[in-house]
Amino acid sequence: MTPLVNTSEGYSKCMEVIQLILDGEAKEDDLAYFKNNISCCDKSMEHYKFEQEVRKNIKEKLAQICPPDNLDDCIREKINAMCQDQNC
Amino acid sequence: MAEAFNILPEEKVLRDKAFEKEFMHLSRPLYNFAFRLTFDQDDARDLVQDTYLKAYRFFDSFEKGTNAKAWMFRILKNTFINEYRRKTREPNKIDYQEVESIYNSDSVNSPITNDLRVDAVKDMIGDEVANALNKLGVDFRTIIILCDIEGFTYEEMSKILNIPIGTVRSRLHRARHLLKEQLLDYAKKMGYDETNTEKAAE
Repeated sequence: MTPLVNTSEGYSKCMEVIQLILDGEAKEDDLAYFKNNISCCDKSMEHYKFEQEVRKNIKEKLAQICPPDNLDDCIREKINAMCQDQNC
Repeated sequence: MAEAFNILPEEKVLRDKAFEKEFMHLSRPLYNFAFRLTFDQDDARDLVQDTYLKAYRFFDSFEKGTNAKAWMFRILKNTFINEYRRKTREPNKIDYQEVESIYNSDSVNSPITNDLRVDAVKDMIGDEVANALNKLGVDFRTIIILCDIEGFTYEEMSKILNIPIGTVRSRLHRARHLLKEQLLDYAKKMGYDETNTEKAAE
């Protein structure tokens, strides 16, 4: 059987469904497409695992940047100053 | 939107309490988003503070029980676009129009995974992934941050960015393809080129 992703059309559909599944946005027909066409195709599953890894890496490696320690206090101060200016 | 001024002191106490509860726990993800947009700690801090000031002024427009995080991200994104984008010191980035013309073509539908393997991505350190993300134009960078780092749904992103859900999907698709191209460049520099991949598979 020719791998789904070997044609431009097949690749496009495959990536579309993979994106929806990994983003948690897949509908029933997307899930059925995944089950019937992607999960049984080694090449397509290679793409699936790769996409999964890229997302995992983005989430893990782009760790939260620490804000300045006093950020919350500065925000409160600025809000209070704004309120005083506006007499509220 | 109605501004939150000219209120009695006791009303202000209640307002401040409600504001604190709804929004102050969001300062960390907001700062992270601001930094990834501005690439500068001072600009990121100012952007977050401006976001909070706007949120406070228009607190009455916020519907209690709706998505506070999405509301704040939308304010921050709009503030960045309107007031910060011009002065941001962005690194070399791909021109949006250029990207749009390329990715409205069929090239976005050609496989890139064949040249970039899971192992190469796993071996990359945070800086390399961050640099790859930073090289994307701001619209593509934003949508990846909102989806992959902050975990917003398509519907939430549609509201934050004020674009239809279909555009969210296609922009994400393009953004990820561009990101993979950047990651592939790094992978090649690290020696994970096609030749090595083929050898590894033997």
